[in-house]
Amino acid sequence: MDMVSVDMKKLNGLLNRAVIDVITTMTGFDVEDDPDCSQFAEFESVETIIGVMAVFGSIDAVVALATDINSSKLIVAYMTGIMPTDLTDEDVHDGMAELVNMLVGRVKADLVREGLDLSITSPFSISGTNIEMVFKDRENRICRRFIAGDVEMFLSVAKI
Amino acid sequence: MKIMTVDDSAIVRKIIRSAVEVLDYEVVEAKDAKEALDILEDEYEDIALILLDWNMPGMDGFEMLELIKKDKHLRHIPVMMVTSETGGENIIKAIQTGATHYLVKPFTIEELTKRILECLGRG
Amino acid sequence: MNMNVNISSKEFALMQRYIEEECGISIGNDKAYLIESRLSSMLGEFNCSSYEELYHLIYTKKDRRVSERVIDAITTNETLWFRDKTPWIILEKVLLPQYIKDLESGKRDRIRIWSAGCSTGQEPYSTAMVIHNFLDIRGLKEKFLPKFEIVATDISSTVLEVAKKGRYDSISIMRGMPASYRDKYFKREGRVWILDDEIRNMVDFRQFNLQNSFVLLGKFHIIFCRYVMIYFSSDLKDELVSKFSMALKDSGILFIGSSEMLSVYREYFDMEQYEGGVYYRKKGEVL
Repeated sequence: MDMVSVDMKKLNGLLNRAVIDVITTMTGFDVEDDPDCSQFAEFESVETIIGVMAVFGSIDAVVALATDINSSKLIVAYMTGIMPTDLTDEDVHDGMAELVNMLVGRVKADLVREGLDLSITSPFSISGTNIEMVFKDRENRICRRFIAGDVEMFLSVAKI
Repeated sequence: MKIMTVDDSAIVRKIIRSAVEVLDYEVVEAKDAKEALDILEDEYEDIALILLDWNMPGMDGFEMLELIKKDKHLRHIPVMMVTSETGGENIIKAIQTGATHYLVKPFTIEELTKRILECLGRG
Repeated sequence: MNMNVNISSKEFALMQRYIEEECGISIGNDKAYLIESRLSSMLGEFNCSSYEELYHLIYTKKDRRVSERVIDAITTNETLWFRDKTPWIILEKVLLPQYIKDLESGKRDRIRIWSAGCSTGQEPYSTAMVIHNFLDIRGLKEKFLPKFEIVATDISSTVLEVAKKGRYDSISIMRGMPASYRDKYFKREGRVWILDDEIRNMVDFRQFNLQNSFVLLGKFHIIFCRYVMIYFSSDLKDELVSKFSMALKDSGILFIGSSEMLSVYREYFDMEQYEGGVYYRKKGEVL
């Protein structure tokens, strides 16, 4: 079974709900999705941090949650109660990885309930400036933008 | 008394620390099962509750739960699984093995606090 | 679909029905994972090897204490300091000036406020801080503070235990607490923030199930019931709106969450607005 036969519309809905649930619960932010956005994150010349996780089984895909470094500090600050200035780089990386872990766990539960068989990898994070994620299969890709005040996040799911 | 958090995520350990300190318990952190079991060997008498992640590198949380519940010194300590692994089957497995509670990430700090108090029998 | 999933869906449907019928709480299909984890400790406690077994046990028991446990387990929500902001602006700018005038003229002898579903105390303590600060900066504290009574209830005795202590972690404090109130009313010990006793003593916390009669609580000038009814079935919601109107004094005020809607209220309330915030005033003689 590939991502198309899971029903992209349904998967989109599950991902949307998972991102909003996870970020809202962990940070207290009011998160909204931007239904008009289908582009992957573009943080030109800005340091970006991306939490990443892979899913295998009925769907083989990589899930990435990207945001700029200042937004990620704000997110992790509200998760932990630690002022952004007191957060270490490790805290921020760990926080972004953990958010991806939670949202993939949430979507996995929904899909397993639908009868899919899925395994997940450990989450990790990458950071840098002008990072570009290029996926060969442009058809089976989901890109979503989420906003919470000044915080902007991009979720990208791509079949691998 | 102390509450132990076993989680490979430093952020999750910090969130748990916040909730536990408000309840006036000391926090003991371990980043994996091995470190946790080493601490428990010396400090098991002071540990009132263990919050245990399921997915960790090395021994996973479920295996550690099984070890705890088979050990005559440790089995009385309540264990709450704290995990992003949802799904009824895992919960049933954990509860049948002796876990007191099963908390799914993401959680609010209120929910975490409430579940901790329930495990400590103060609900 | 495999067998396990079918069984799990069936168990969930049974639990969903029980929770709606016995507890008045609507749970969407997307919340299955929440039910499972939040009721997990009851599995062990009642020695059940499946949710189906747990459902049958609690359904056949028809025990009010068990249904309260279920409500308690599945309705924990985050509460923020000064959530939505507008209720406290309305309190400070519209309601308190009128209440003080009425207390001074002897038209009212005290002001009673109810925070229904107060969780860990952020809502009643936010209210208490606004009232305290309002009176304090006008030099009216000694005279009028004792005239204000705040009753805060929740179905969960566990969250009330936390609320009564007035101790908060940095995560909770960071979410919504203005620095001016934090500096005036909290002291910090490490990562724990401790609320001033004067504010703590303004709130009377009580365990209470909103499905019970409100008669013994007495009548109130203001009721806050915010982000609590979101869990309830439409029948229970409608019933509560009518019960709240009966628990309010004439022209009393009901605050609900800013994103919440009341389908049936016109019989009991007029909707009013102030600075973008909505509140409901009980119909009746305007004092």
